Amino acid sequence: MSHPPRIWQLVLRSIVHHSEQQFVEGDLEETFHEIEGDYGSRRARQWYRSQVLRSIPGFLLRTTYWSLEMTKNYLLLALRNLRKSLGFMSINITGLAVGIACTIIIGLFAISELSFDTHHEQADRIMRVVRTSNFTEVETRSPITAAPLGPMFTANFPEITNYFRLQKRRADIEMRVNGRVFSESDVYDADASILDILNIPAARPMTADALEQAYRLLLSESVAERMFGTQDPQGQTIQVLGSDYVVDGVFRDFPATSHFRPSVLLSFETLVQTRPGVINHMGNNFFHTYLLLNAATDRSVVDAKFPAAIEAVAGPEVASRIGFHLQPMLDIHLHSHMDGELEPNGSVETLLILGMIALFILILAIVNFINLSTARSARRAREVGVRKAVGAHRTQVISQFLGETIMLSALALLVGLGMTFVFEPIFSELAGRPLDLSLLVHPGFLAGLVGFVLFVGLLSGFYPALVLARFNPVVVLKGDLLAGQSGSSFFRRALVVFQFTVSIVLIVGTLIVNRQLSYLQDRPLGFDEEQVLVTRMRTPEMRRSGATLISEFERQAGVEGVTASSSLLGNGAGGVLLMPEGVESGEDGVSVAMLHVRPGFSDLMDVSVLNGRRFDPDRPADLDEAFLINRTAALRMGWTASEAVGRSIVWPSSLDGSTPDVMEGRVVGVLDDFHFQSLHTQVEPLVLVATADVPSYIMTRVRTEDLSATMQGLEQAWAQVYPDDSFEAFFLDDHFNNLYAAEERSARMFRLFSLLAIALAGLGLLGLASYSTSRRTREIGIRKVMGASSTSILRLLVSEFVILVSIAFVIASPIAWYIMRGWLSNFPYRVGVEPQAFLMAGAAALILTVVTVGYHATRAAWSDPIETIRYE
Amino acid sequence: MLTRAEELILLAVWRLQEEAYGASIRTHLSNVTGEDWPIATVYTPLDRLTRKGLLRSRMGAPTGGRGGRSRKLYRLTGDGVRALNTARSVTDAMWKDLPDPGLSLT
Repeated sequence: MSHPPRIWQLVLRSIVHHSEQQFVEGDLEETFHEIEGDYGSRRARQWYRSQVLRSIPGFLLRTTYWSLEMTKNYLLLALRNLRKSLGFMSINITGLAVGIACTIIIGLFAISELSFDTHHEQADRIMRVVRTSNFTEVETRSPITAAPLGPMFTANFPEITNYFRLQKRRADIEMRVNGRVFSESDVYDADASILDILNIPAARPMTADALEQAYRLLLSESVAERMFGTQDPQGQTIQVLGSDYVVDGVFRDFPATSHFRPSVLLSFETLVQTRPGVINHMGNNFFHTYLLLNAATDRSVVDAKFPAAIEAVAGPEVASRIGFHLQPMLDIHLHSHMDGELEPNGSVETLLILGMIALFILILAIVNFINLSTARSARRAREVGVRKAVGAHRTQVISQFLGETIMLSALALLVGLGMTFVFEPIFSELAGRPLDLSLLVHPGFLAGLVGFVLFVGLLSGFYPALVLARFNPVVVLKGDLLAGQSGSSFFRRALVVFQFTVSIVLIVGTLIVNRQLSYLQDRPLGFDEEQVLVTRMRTPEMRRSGATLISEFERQAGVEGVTASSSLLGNGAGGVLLMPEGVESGEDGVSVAMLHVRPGFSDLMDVSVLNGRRFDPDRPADLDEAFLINRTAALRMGWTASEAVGRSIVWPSSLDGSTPDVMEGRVVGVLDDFHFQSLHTQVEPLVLVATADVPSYIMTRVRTEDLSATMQGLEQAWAQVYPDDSFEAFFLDDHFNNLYAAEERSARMFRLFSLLAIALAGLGLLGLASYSTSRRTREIGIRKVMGASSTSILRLLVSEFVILVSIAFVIASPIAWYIMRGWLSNFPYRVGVEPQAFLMAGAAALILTVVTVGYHATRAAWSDPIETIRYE
Repeated sequence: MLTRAEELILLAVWRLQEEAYGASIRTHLSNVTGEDWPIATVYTPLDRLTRKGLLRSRMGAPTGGRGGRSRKLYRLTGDGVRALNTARSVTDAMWKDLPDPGLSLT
């Protein structure tokens, strides 16, 4: 007697529902042997095969029918369960949904952060020139370079095929169109080659020579629409700062994922023709220079050639102090944080931290989900016992529970997606730009979501399913429901500890980030930055009539005083090399930052004098032979503040040749250190030189009362002196606050997500507390009958969780301390990692615990023991 | 109303009496009709008839030749017997007094 063909037996087994397998297989085998007996085994095997093949459609139909029938039953049970413990389930689903929404939003944010500038086809070949200078001991890096660099490098290096230069106009620019006035921010001067190097799609046809001639401009689509409505603006005239420009075309708005987003591009040629002094001078660092490398070139090859090139042009002395290197455009958004960036950039650290927070929130949510599902499933032991007693397979029980958790996690996903849409505007506000929700329907993303649902469903269903399927129906039905549950209760406790560890770390982090931020914003800068209006002399021509402007400004009511400096406070200052007394050669000079200021500067800005005196406007000699130095400069030159006064200093000449003067003078006073740079850097040695000219930045201290009248007066005074140029001004303290925009943004995000994490931990705790108290209902009843007071029972119930949270606190503290110390070490001026933050976080966690657990515990503790003991 | 397959299966169960189970029903039907019935086409109507209450099934003891697997045995219920009788009288009525069926091959 042979055996039916095994392969067809397997096929049969795979299509027949397991409830029918036994007798169907038996039937076929029986007939098989009969046929074998009558006609031989060959015939029988043939018959067996044809039987299986022809039965496939019929059995498939039946199997589907059976599983549908069972699914209907499971679904019904699942829904009943959902309804029976609605509160429990909604906590469970909401928790996971919040976790999912957070992760999706942070994921979308990360995708958008990583995709900055990638929409340009040649993006990986576009480099920005970074200038490094080590006039002071700290090497400073700046993206702001001189105009001749681009053409020079392109002409001399075969690896560089093209360049463009950008200049961002600092203030809003007034534009007149047919008598209407518009104020535009994000106005840039740009070379025509920007259109070849970047991908700037035209929204309307552009002229073939767009931006190539002087007094031409391009508008972004949104600006064009604001100015001209639906009309094509090409060929129209716009008055910009008093000059007529012709519109060459309209480009589509730059995507939000661009490191700069111009609204108007003015032709660089205009600058070339009207300001040759600025454009041709190597010392005028005003521009961002971008280079296009040819495909085969690595940027390090070009970097290596820079020193020799600088030496050839400017001599060895300059070459030792100034260097250039290339920065990939794709690195700008996440990796570049220099003074003078076009926009506040993102930071890779923030992204990493956010990613970690997302991961933790998701883990928190999943943990909650598993935790609650497991806790709840213990209540269904009896259901499982009955099922098994009437003949359910282990596999059936497992698949029933897995199916339920998968269904729940799918439900949570739907809710989470809904939340994503609700939260997105809030987050966009924090992030400063909208997120691309269209990524949500990307097939890869959808596949990921389905995978996630299965993963979470299986993960959270697996443990309870396995435990339940293992239940011995006899034991379970006898009522000994929770035998073998002690192991899982350890598991649940560990999860609570984990959740609170994460929450406490996040709370501590948020508190410290907030403190650091307000510290940055509130730290005394060493001068009075309030109520100072800054106006920039945009051209050397304007500076010529600067003195007139200053005296006009000073005459206005509400103005306390006017002064000027060569750099904007907060943005640092240019470096020079000085030879203090006793130093003979330039090689041994001291590198310092230098500000050229009007004589009254230190007085008006309220910088305190440590020793000596300020510049005296009535002593003309101060203009030629007096230096004011800050405390750090005095130390660098080897003097104490009192020794320094009266010492002589020689300023040989500026190294880059931009100011050819030579000056010899004495230190007349030592100023206390003040922050002429942002608080991201330590105060550097600084030397002030008085000048009778008017340096670029005019600072007007105004009185608070009747500010608008004062502003009006200033604007009129400006119009008298410069009838052709518009009045642009901003407040110095705003400028300082903007320096910390990136920190501000991260602080707000951290606040939001820590809040969510805490809410999730609380939610999980709430569910667990309700579960654990209801499990102990009978125990509580018996304790009360035996004479325990309600308060002692309350203490018993709450202390269990308080201990867990305390353990979490002990674990979290060193972690938070370590992480935050690392973060703070990025700042030279910073708050300490102080115990208050930890105490507050611990207290918050504790209060949360007592409140959430206390609610259920109180109800249980004050319940009537007769009711609870009878409870079954 | 019974379908043709259902009617044939009920008849087979009636004929096979205590020995009515999947394999024997299938063999009997195949022998009578001269077609090899796939096993699935036997079980589907068997199930349907059981749900309608015309048949009752029980698990029989495992026998040899089946690899130790048990059989699912079927028996007509009272309703099943009545349904067969109805089917028969309907068929008889339909055939009765046909003028000339014209179906003979002569």
